[in-house]
Amino acid sequence: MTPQTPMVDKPLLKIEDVEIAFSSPDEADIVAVRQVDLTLTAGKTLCLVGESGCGKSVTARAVLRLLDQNASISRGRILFTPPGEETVDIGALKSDSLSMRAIRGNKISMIFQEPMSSLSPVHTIGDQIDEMIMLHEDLKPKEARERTVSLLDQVGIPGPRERADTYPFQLSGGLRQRAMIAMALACTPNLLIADEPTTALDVTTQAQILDLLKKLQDDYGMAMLFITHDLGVVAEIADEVAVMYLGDVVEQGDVFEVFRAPRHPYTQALMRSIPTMARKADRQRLSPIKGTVPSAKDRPQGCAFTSRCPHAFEPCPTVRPERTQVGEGHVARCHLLTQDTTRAEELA
Amino acid sequence: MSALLSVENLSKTFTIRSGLVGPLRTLDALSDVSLSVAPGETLAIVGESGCGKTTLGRCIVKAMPVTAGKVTYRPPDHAPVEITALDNRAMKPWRRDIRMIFQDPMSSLNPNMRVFDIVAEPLRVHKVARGRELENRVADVLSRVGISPDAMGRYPHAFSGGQRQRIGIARALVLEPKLVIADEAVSALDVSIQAQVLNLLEDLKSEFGLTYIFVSHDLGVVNYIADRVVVMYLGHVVENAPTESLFERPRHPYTEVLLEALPIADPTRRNRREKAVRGEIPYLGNRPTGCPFHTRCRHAQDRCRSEKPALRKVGQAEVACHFAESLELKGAYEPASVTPSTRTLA
Repeated sequence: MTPQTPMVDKPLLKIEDVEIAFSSPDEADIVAVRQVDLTLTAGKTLCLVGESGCGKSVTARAVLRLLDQNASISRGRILFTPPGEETVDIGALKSDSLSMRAIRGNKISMIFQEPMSSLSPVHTIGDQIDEMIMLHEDLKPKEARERTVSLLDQVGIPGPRERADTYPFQLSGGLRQRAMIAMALACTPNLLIADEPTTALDVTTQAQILDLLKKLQDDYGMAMLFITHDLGVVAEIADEVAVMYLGDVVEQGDVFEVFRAPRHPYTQALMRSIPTMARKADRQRLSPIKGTVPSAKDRPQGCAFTSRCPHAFEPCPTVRPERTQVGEGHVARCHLLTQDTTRAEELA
Repeated sequence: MSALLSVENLSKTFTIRSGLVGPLRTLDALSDVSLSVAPGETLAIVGESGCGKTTLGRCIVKAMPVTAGKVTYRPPDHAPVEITALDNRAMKPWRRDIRMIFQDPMSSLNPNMRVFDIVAEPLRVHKVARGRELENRVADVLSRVGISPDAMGRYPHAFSGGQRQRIGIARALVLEPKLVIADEAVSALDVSIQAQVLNLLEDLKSEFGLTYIFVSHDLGVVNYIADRVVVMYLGHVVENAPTESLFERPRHPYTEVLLEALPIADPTRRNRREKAVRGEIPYLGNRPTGCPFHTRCRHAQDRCRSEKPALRKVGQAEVACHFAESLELKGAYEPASVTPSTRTLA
């Protein structure tokens, strides 16, 4: 397995100004993702973090064009540049086109939260992985099975040859997730999208799966787009982190930088609302974010966080804040960072 | 100080049938569990799925009969009551004192009942209040948990997850209980809402002088809220210690593994795991002989495979491990020289 050399000039994946709307016959369109800008470098892990309904899963599915029928990418581009190849705008491809199918599962693959509902219950895991390999590569069934067995072995499934003949329900949650990962790796993708892959698992199993993903990433040199709601998991696994709130990416940057000095009020508030691993004497009362996440229908024109932000002032409800560079590769969208230099100190 | 509630040698065995016509088999969900909770204390029960933490909570509120052992409740102004020996009728008055909050606020509130009726039901069942007084008490408890009494004519679907959890809390508190068992009460909530509910639980505790048994799998939350922690594995108590001592210096190898596996929201503390986490939780019906944890334990020796360790006092903790005195186990806090307070968030 030779690690791909990262392209210096172009990022592996660049999502520019993407908007995703869901239509419904009896209601106005709901804009689930309003404006997402993300950059993912080859070989790196980008964590997309946010609370339920912020649009993180929708964004991830859009990259693979796995959105529901009534969803459409109404604006923006999803630029994918596999090493040594031309850039493709995934957003402009038809989701069932040949070129999209050549990318899906082959160059970009995905693992899901609940392996039980994303694996077929009536096929053995070996058959499911064989199918995936033969779909993308010209291999005979026997050769495909050999590859499957070696993949199952690499993801740490004991007795891989025998386990290939088992059905998903015969495996534990941890083993099922490993089988899912083996399938995603079958065609050595450039990008692996992981949508809450450890959320349904116990904490010791979660640790094993995170360690496995880190190891496989080193072996294969692939990039990861990792969706999670758990800041602890972000701190474990991310190189970069992007924080989403109600369809907007409000902040993106290096994980150490964002945890050390978060600049968007939402990121700051999120970090203050999780209990820290501190002794009683150093423990501080949690400061929760007031109120609840509004529905996408009630989102203000301007900054989505306005209704819950402790710093909100005149331009916030009406004007969308610009992307502001606040450090090396660290951007945030907040009016306090641009408009009002005297108040910018509040966020420093 | 005598305990408010104590559990002695509690066991719970479920009988299951494999398949439609298969033989009957037994599963020991709880084996010989003993613990006690002092008045005003928050006791956390932690462990992974299948460890028996939920079953234990349900046995304490007598939502299911126990197989062996006893649960004793000591009301402040009454002689001790052995809950496990009571029939349902005799238990009823004590149900006012021991209440439960459930994990999923979606399925624990009846969708066909108005919020007012949901919260008023315990008052009606126990004939505590009626008419105007009933209304006042419901409105009062709802406003204490942060739900506007104007909204009490609505149905649960009209509320968000966090608000529904507050309604569940109001229902538990309306009878002014002494002991509240919270079963994964914040696990289904988003972090910002989770923080609101945790703060609320702390405030209500001091306001009403409550005692909590807090069942959770989230050690971060447990470190924040609990005074003492009971760690369970496959139906056994493996460690019972004051929170700070448990997180500083765990005494049982399983506790160490749990603390190592816990993702801490601080990237400078990543890669704390020096060794990989071994194996998976065995199926309950296939529990190892000897120490239940020996199949995954880094320190296991021959003795662990054959002889089951009893819970015994080591330092501030009660531990079920043959080698608890000699093992040097790693905690989850940063070393004391680098105090975490140097890490400020903005």
